[in-house]
Amino acid sequence: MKVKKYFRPRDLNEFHRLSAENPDHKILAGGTYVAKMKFPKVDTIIDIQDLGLKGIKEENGDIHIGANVTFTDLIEAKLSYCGGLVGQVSSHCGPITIRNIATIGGNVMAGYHWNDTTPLLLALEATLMFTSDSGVKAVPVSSFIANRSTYTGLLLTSIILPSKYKDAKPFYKRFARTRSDIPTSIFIVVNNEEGDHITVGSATVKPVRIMYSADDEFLKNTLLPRLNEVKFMDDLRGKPEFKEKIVISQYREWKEK
Amino acid sequence: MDIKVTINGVKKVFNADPGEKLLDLLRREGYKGAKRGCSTGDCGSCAVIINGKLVNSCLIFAGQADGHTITTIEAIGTVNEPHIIQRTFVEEGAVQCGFCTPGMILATKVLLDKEKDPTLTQIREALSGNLCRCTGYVKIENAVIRSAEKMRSE
Ligand SMILES: Cc1cc2nc3c(=O)[nH]c(=O)nc-3n(C[C@H](O)[C@H](O)[C@H](O)COP(=O)(O)OP(=O)(O)OC[C@H]3O[C@@H](n4cnc5c(N)ncnc54)[C@H](O)[C@@H]3O)c2cc1C
Ligand code: FES
Ligand code: FES
Repeated sequence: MKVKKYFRPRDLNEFHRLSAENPDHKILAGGTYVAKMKFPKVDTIIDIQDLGLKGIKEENGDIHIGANVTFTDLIEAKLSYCGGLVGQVSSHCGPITIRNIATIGGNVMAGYHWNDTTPLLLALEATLMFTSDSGVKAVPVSSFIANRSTYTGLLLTSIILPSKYKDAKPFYKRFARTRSDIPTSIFIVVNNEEGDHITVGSATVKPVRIMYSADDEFLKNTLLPRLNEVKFMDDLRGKPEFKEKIVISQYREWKEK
Repeated sequence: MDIKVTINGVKKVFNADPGEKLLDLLRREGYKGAKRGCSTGDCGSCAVIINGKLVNSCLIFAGQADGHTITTIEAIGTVNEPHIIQRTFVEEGAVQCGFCTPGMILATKVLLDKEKDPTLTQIREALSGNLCRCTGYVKIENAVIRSAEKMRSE
């Protein structure tokens, strides 16, 4: 990356103007991903720290999280929403030096599916709020996962967690080589009026959310075939067979509870 | 581009390239306590404190630091007047090659400024971004515990 220009716009109008004037720009939040990557075409950095995207607030039971909120902010906010799940997941998003600067917006937008926040947001049926010079767009996280490239270049301003999971009692299991290593498998169960919903992330190429049905063969007939459809990942953290075994053990642990 | 910061209690203006990382800027300006280990955010040897939080200066663009308060290891103590934490690290044998030590000391400082009597879990959490290839961590953890004891009895 040969950066020739660095901007820190003060408001959204200035952000949109600078984005339009500099087509080869990169949005910069905490920088823990951007600073490591090469991005050969990028010549301009647009740092969004002054855009006021740092708030966490509750509105009619929904939780609104600004895209530039860091994982440390999320831990320190001690949200009681969904049994404190957001803080719990945030505490695993890298070591403290990363969590102090890495943002939830940057984590969602970094372009990979193995991270900790995508399965969390999918489990909670979150809505991503994007803005462009043509207006604001509310996107369910499931649509974002399905068509990620559609949203490249748009500014994520906030994430909304719906009130329906406010009092849910989640089950959350994360398997990683060390506490702060990236996850090998994430298994989340949340319940709403329809029943239990299982989300599996990191182990597979894309996270998957599926409704549980009280069927003795649910694992064999429903969950594993669905995960195999989106494919278990083969990477330095393990072979597909290994990852499948982890998911099975996480599932069994939930069932025993 | 101009970068205005308060560094180690002093207001300064530095000139940086738009793509320059904070670590490179600091070292160029003589703050050599921050070391380059991995450049990928894994080792913590480049750690500095920005607005009270420990961060890796190798992953931060200089422009991100504009307007903020930075503390580097140079502000913690000197060879002639080391900070209690620095003295205790030496006494406890928590320093071997010393490459990780500035980051470890800063991580300890942030922790002990907040927690006067940290648990082992809190210590491990506070040092989770700092790797040491020499000591095996036991002596470092002991040094943090002893530093806390000494600071409490001061
Ligand atoms: C040592 C280390 C350990 C890590 N461990 C984990 C882990 O265990 N789990 C995990 O999930 N992650 C982990 N990560 C990844 C880390 O969490 C991400 O790098 C971080 O969350 C990205 O956020 P950022 O604010 O630094 O983003 P940046 O680096 O600033 O940006 C990331 C990407 O998102 C884009 N972007 C940022 N904000 C916006 C926005 N508001 N709108 C549109 N686009 C935007 C940028 O253009 C860029 O493409 C680790 C990283 C490191 C270095
Ligand atoms: S050099 Fe910055 S974390 Fe290793
Ligand atoms: S003392 Fe050598 S790396 Fe820690």
